[in-house]
Amino acid sequence: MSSPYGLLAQFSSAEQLLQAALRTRSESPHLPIEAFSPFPIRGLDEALGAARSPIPVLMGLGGLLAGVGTFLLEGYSAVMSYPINVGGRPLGSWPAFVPPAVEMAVLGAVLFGVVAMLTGNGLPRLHHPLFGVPEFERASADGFFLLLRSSAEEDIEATRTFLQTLSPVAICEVPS
Amino acid sequence: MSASLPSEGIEHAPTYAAVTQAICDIPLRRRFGQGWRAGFAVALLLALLLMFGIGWLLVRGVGIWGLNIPVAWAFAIADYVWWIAIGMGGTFISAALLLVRQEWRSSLNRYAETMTVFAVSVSGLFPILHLGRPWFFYWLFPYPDIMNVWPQWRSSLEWDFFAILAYLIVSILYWYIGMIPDFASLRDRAASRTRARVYGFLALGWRGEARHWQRFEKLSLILAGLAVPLVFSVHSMVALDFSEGLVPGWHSTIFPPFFVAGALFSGFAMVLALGIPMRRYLRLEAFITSRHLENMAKMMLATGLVVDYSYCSEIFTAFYSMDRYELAMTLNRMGGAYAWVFWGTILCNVLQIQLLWLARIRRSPAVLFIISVGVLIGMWLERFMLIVTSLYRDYVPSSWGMFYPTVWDIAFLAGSVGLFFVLFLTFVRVGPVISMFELRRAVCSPAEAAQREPQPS
Amino acid sequence: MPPLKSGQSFDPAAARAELSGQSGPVLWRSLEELADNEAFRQWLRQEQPRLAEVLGLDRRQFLRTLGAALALAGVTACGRPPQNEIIPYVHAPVGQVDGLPRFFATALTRNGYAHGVLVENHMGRPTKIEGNPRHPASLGATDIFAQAAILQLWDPDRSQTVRHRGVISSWDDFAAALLDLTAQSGRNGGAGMHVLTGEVTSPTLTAQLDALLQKFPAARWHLHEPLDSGNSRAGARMAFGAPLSTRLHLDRARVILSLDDDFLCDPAAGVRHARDFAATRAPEKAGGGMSRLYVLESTPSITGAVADHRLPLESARIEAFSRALARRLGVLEDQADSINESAWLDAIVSDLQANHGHSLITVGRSQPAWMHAAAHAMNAALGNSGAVIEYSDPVERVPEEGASLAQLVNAIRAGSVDLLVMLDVNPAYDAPADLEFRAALKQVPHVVHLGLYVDESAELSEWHLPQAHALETWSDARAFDGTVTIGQPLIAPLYDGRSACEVMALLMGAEVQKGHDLVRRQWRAKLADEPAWVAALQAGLIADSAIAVRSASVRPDLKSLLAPPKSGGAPPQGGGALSQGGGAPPESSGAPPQKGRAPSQSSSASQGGLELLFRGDPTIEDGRWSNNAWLQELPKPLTQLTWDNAVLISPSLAAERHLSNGELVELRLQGRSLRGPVWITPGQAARSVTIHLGYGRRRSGQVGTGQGFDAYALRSSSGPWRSAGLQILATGERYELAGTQQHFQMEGRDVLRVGTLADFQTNPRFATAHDRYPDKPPSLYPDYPPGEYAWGLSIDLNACIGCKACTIACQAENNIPTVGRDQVRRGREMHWIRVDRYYEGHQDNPHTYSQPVPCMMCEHAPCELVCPVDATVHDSEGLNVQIYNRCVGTRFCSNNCPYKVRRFNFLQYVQSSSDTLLAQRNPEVTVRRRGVMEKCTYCIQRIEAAHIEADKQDRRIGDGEVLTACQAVCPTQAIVFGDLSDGRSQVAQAKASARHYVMLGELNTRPRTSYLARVRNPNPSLEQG
Repeated sequence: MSSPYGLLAQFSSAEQLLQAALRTRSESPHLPIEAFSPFPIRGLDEALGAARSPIPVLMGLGGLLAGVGTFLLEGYSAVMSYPINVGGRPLGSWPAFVPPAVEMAVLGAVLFGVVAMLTGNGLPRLHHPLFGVPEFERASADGFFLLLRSSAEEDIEATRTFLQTLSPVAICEVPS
Repeated sequence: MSASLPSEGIEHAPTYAAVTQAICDIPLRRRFGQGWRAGFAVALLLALLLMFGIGWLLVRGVGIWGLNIPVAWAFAIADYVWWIAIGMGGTFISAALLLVRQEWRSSLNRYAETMTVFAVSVSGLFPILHLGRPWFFYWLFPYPDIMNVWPQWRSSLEWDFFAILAYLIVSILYWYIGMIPDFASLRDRAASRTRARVYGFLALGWRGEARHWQRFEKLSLILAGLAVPLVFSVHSMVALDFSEGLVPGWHSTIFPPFFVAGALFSGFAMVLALGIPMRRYLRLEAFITSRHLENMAKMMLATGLVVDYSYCSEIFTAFYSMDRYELAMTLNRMGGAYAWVFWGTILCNVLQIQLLWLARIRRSPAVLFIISVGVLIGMWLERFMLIVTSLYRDYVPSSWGMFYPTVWDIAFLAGSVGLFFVLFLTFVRVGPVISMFELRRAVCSPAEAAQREPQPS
Repeated sequence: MPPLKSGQSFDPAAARAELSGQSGPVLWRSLEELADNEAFRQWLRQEQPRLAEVLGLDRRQFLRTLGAALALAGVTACGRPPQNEIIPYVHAPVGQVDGLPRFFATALTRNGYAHGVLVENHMGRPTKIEGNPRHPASLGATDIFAQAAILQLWDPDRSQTVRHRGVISSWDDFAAALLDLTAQSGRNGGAGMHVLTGEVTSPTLTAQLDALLQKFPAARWHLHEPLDSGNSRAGARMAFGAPLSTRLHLDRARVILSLDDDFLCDPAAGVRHARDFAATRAPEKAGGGMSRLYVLESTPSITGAVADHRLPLESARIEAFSRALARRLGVLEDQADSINESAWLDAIVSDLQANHGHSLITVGRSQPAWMHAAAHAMNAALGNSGAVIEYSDPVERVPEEGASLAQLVNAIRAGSVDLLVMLDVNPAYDAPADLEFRAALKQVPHVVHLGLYVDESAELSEWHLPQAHALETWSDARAFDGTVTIGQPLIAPLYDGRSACEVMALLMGAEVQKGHDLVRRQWRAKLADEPAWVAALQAGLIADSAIAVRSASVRPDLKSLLAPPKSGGAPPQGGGALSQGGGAPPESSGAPPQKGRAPSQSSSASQGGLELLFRGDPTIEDGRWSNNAWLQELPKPLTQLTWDNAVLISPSLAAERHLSNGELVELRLQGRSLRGPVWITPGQAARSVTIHLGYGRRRSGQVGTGQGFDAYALRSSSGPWRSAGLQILATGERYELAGTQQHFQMEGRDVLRVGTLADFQTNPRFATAHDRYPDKPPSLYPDYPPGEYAWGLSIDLNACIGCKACTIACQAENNIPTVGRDQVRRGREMHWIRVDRYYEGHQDNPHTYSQPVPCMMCEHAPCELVCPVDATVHDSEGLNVQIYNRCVGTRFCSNNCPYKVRRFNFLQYVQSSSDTLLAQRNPEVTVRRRGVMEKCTYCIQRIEAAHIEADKQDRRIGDGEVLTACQAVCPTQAIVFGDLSDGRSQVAQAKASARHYVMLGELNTRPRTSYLARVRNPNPSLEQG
């Protein structure tokens, strides 16, 4: 049989999952761990050693680009590209240029943020080995899972025994 | 509303599975009977009427409405402002309450956001259809034109164009992103394969991995942070559509805040008007509790009072300034041919909401429903008053004239309501009407809650 | 007149009362206020099913399709050059440059009198009519009818073929048939041959008539003019023993008394009168040389509106007043009955006598002959004869005994009419009801009708002949002073039409048949050589062809003629019967009949009964213009109504009978009756009811047929202008009249500013005395650098008489569509320059003011600021330009325009179907499609044309080189346009006037269009009262 994708341990509560994650991490720091829960569990990401997300920075950047870009476009079109007397107002009546710039800034930030989130999460990814595990469907209801990736055949047993020590509800193999 | 315990608002906290099941069963297993079908049929008919109206409008021109000189704006713009105002409520509830950590919001935000998205979409129709040549609406967008002409950035209509654009996209994304985990839940519980595929597609393969949740939460938080100012700015733009004009009754610098208040006012009203029947029909009393309704009622009252204050200040300003045109306009509103609109507005937006001071009223869904519908009517009348009674008698008496609606004016209003309900009822039928993952979080044990309660880091 | 009644200080209570629409005199009720009353709304809901209106402008669609059908003939025809007169193109006609318009001088007639015009011709297409500056009746201006004539030329409804008993036939067939007929009657000297025409001034036609009567001594010529001047002709006969023509020199008058005379709308000389009158109205002139005008009239007229003192009196009581006046001036000798208006009488008499030799008394055509005679005597007594008023031998062809329509009908009844030839008349529609002309016509064996349309008379005629339009034929005609203009064709007949002269030639079997030859032969003596002929054509008139002024002395026995009957004579029935229209009343013999006598003041009107007055419609006259959409949609100068006539009643009568605007009433008179909607008219004499002729056409065209009600149904030949004993019955039904103005009160807003001469003398700047910023308010924004020119426009409200010629001239110049009654009801009329009308003072006799409102061309234009697509912007010369093809139609600009001068194409108003009307369009002006905003452009196409000319010659555009359409047509030159940056330009001068003010200046829109305040010159002794 081909080597499995990894081992999936199910826990009964967010609390246990968090503890399990912490222990796994402390005992074998360089083991690739993933944890799955039906709702965000505070601290779990740190427990897994996740880096701080760049999303805020990216959104700020997007907002800045869109906002300043819009403002410059307005200025260019009204003053340089198509200067014309409108209602006797000055060509570069910049206060009037602010509102669209603001709106575009927000839009830009949001678009950047959404794209960053999805790409960061590697989504969309409609198929994933985990979906091969029947139990895993509870991950979107009341299942708390810990996934240990293991490529080599021989590691499997070691991992399984280690997982046992975390007293999970169940352990199952994830076919690749 | 002070920071509150996580599980509050949801009676006899059930298990994650139960919660998930309860919500998932609505689109997946529940039978939708006469009630829903009848409602949908009516909505569909009205929507079709709208479609026909649009066709006729494109064939004949905006002259099919009762518009004229001087009243060159009327129903269509009133409808537009009314809808987009309603569209403000949802985002505000969802975002603002998230920011102030009102956990009880989790039962409301989903359908409130849904309402927002659909209301904004419907409202977006009107400014376009209202153009003399709708097919050229894109000329408002800055693109390299062979004639090298650009939009005119000083026009508040131009600002509004960008505002609607941004708001529509943002509110849709905000709504959809929030639904991804719930689509995953639906995917995993869908009986039929096709449904599983559809929901699976919408879930984008969400697995609930911890790092994903981290990014997801970050995004949601910042989105909320942006959505609140966006709501304010967008509706301020709508206000500027009027206050940039020098028409007496429009030319007022304090419109933006008043408009925002009005928007939230009607938004909350719509949330109530939708929520009360929905929770009854879908048996969601466990999730949308009378406590939710009461909170909404309080917010409606609060915003309503701001709106009422704006009425007073407008009238006061007119008399205080003794500006001939402002004064004549104000007196026209109160006593002119359209006085009934003014007094209707007062009745709906000022008098009846005072009932909400009484806890007994706030706790009675039926009464709340009636009041909030009244508020919705009142807010439409207010827009009509603002637009028509300002225009029909402005500066030069020789050009004063009346506005009489045609059947098409009515048809477009009714039709837009129909279209909205077609969309909303469809969503109720197939979508997660309550944010499940947030419910799950809300019902988990206090211990975990304490763990989870985020400290400002 | 700031303060205007309620003045600057605003009274909320009063305003609330008024605005609520619940109180205040019924007169001021505007449609919206009416909307307050539930009954009205109810009715509106039932009577105006909106769906019906939405589903369409049925009339227009009908018009469109039918027009398309009719078009083919027209379109093919309009390319065709005239057969022999216009020189072939290869010979490169002088001055013709492809694409550039050329102007040809010709004449249009109104009631037979010539108005000299210049016709703009685009590559063979007449498109616009201007006045001929050298013509005495025009001096460069025209009335509304001359402007509308161009639309009439291209009217697809015009008769296109000869018809024999309704079946299409040909001129040859007609000629053959006519030969037999004339041969028969020719044997016995033309007995049984009768010719019926309107007023004739054309020397050619006159000569032809003479020749005809010479050839056929037994033949008869009859004159039928529904709005005739028979009374004045008869009056002249009484006074001088001869039917002399009178000529007014208003510019020489210091005091004018009009006895029911709307001389500013006189069909022959109205335009000239307006110019002369305006010349005396400039208060700036040294010594405040401003004339004073008194008007006594029963129904409001333009002349009454500009009067310094206007006294509404029932027509009958005007007679009484005149009689008292005549006695005071020593023209009548008899014991007077007292009149109530003695204060007026005293004031007027003293004023007249104080201005001996510089005053004038005029009498309206609706007043009886004796008054005209008395007026001549009074003018003589006041030393005005020969100074302010002059006399000449008759300009028109004077009808001899038995030439009236009534006598024609008698002859028909007697069976003595065998052949009746009707030239450009429509008696089957516009004959007085009591003659029952239609019935009579059926008794005539052979009837020939020449007309522009297949109308009511054509229907009843054996032969109908299509008439060629005045712009399609050679003709000639005399102006009010006898000046002759040769009318030349601008285009070959679109259809198979011929002129009256040509038909006359046919009738006589003359050898010369062609119009050109006929006219040329007529003038072979005076214009012997070709150069003289060409010169006359180029100038648009024959030099010194005016009829010489002659001295006229009032016959000494006039007093006895005018003496009242010892035993109270019959009450005067309606000021001169139509029978006098023929000018053949017994007066002509000099012996005074009852009819001619001054009345003892026993008129039913003064005894509380009602009198019914008949007047020509302000825009479609006696009905001949009823198929002209421009005139139909032109708001009637005083009522602002379109597309309908109405029953004009006084506010007091309305209050007494509880009638409101639009209520259908039944009028009963002498056993006849008709129904019409009421219009409450401020300034209408209390007991007078006025209805306008010209509507209710049974057969007119797609535009005119069936509009309004037919007032002729109550008109009798004994009382053509007024009849006593009218009954009004309310029917309780309603009819929504289509008015362009709903609100006639200024609400204390000083958009229109008026002062008295006294005000002006104490403070010439009275108009801006109350303004916070008399000139320019300060602004946050720096001014834009001045362009090459700074166009501006000034409107002198003191000169404006509210005739609305500007509105229709603008419509013709700028391809402005008409929208139809339903759309006007909705408030969607498209006129670029409107003439607002405001009332001030008591409803029974208010001051009436007119104010033309074009685009203000604001320097800080509110409309531009709010346009999201740059569709309305400013050009360097200060024009607020509208870019139609960039407009998406948000309509924010219109909402934001404080002056509401913008117009929107709510539907597809312009007919793009192929249609002869397309040929009328001005090729220099874009045709706007649906969904686009439009407005006044200061006739930018004319400015650009001038630019090109100036650039070619490398010079600046000269002052007065660009005339806007409204400016060019204005009879009183109230509108001045030009370059403000040139201090010497007329417009700069005008704006330098002390009376200068801008509308709504406090909004700091900085309009380029501004006004000169109106100044009234009241008689102090009357102002007190």
